[in-house]
Amino acid sequence: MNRTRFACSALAVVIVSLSVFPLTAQAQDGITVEQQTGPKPILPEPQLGLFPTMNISEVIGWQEGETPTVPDGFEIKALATGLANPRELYVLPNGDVLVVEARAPEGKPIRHPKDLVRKIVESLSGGGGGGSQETNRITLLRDTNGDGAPDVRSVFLDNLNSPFGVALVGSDLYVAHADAIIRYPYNEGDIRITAPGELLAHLPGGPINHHWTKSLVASPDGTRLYVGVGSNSNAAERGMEAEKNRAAIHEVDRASGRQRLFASGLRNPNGLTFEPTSGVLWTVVNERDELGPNLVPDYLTSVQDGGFYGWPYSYFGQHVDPRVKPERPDLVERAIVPDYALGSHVAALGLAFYTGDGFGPRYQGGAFVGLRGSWNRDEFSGYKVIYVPFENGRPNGQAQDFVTGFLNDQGQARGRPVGVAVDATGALLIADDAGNTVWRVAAKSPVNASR
Amino acid sequence: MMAVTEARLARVVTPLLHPFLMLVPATCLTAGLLTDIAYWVTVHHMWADFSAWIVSAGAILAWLVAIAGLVELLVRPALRRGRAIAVYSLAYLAAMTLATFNMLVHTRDAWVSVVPWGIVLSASTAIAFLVAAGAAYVLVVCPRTEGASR
Repeated sequence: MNRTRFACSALAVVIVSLSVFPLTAQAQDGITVEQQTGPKPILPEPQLGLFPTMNISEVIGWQEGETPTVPDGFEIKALATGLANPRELYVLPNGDVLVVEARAPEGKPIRHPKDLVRKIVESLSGGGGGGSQETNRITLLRDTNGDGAPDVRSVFLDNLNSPFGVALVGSDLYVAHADAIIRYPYNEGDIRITAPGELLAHLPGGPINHHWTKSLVASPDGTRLYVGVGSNSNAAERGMEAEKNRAAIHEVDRASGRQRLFASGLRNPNGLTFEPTSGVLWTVVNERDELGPNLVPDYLTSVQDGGFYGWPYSYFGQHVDPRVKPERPDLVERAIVPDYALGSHVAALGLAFYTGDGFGPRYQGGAFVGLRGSWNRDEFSGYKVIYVPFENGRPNGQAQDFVTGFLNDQGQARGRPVGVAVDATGALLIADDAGNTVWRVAAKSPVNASR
Repeated sequence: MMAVTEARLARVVTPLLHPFLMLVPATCLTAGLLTDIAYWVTVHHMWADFSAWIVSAGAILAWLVAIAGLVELLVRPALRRGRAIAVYSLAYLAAMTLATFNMLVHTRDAWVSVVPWGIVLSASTAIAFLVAAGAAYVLVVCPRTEGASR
């Protein structure tokens, strides 16, 4: 037996295999996050690596005295700490702040061996946070004197089923649980609701409920609710039967509970908000993974009635996803190109239009977007709150970093920003689900409109 | 007396154990070729999921069985002689390498987890196992003939 020939053959097999398959997708196309932010992102060809890139920053939390970084002229302070996975924020008419604390529903079936591997990697990174603390509840914060330090903190609602969206119309408070919209009676000044909720509408729920966060908003006239229902998969790998009524925004009639699909093809829509000047519904959408570090950009878009936005068949208009069969050229043809890309894998999860005036004219009418941060990218993206300027109800100009410093120099996460809201004093509130904190960003001294 | 002689003879010709262990990953990975073909034909995600599990199980078992084979070769130098063992080892290593890449390709989502590379790798793995099985036949059925021919 010829040992040398044997070794050479074995080596050849390995080399040939490695050259045919890149191990993982690397950001080698030179495309920057900035080039993928705005109305016309540069999109590379899809890269199918040998296994999904998993680069999750280890969650270390905030040390005493540490805060995120804000631009000159602003200050940031923790409004509340010691929360358990704060995901969404809602400001009541009297200025009270509702903090929705929630964790993903349990019992999602393991479909694929990689689900097992991902669970292990995620548990090593300490993602999620909040430990074994009580969660799936809503905490109320009241700041009577407006100094940015709440003097009342109360459990407003608890024992909820992975709540996310909240909307108040008159005295009806709606909470979007992982599988239903429930109505609770609310009177101004309440710090706790003990009445049992009433079902308004069922929503697509478990057992998979992959993208479980149900974002909720009421129409400006208060007659309808709009709720985001994320997909059950990354790119339809669980089959299209699992996607019935998912990857969509539902419209729910408030009086009757009747619902219909308002828009579809939106992989994971969150931060549903009406743009205040035009009255048009906007959302941020988390796009698909595992096509390379620079695909697919998450986006901010207005939502058209009956609009189809591509998922799973195509992305950013007519770019066909090679993984999805059978193809649907009829749907791809009518896929709407989203309005504004936010960068690949940034995980846009919160959206708030700035309706206050404390931040000065520069921020008037624009959108703050919470970017929870990447996992499927060799270099981190997101992990910050950005500002997208708007004019006449449309994005106008380059997005700017607004709140940063969620990652430290070693790439460890002190926190991860998700839901954003503007409080009664015009300060920006940020839910930080890994740091278990709600941050409040205020202008140092009110900027007057002439500056 | 007779019985003792027979026993000694039996010990001398004890063949490799590895080809029998190899049947476990080989069965998984050949089944993976069948489920890949089923997915290719039906485009039903259930078959792609079957493939992912069975190819992953096959690849991991192939590595474990390779360790057993390595130990066997180390403790029984007599088995290292002859051409059949070289063919057998190379074919097995090729199958194991192909299966490992196949496991990774099967981590992709939906269509591209199988077509085209998953199915190509599954078929190549099955062929490599066939070659290994041919060499194993020589090693197991006529070990002394093979030993004599060097």
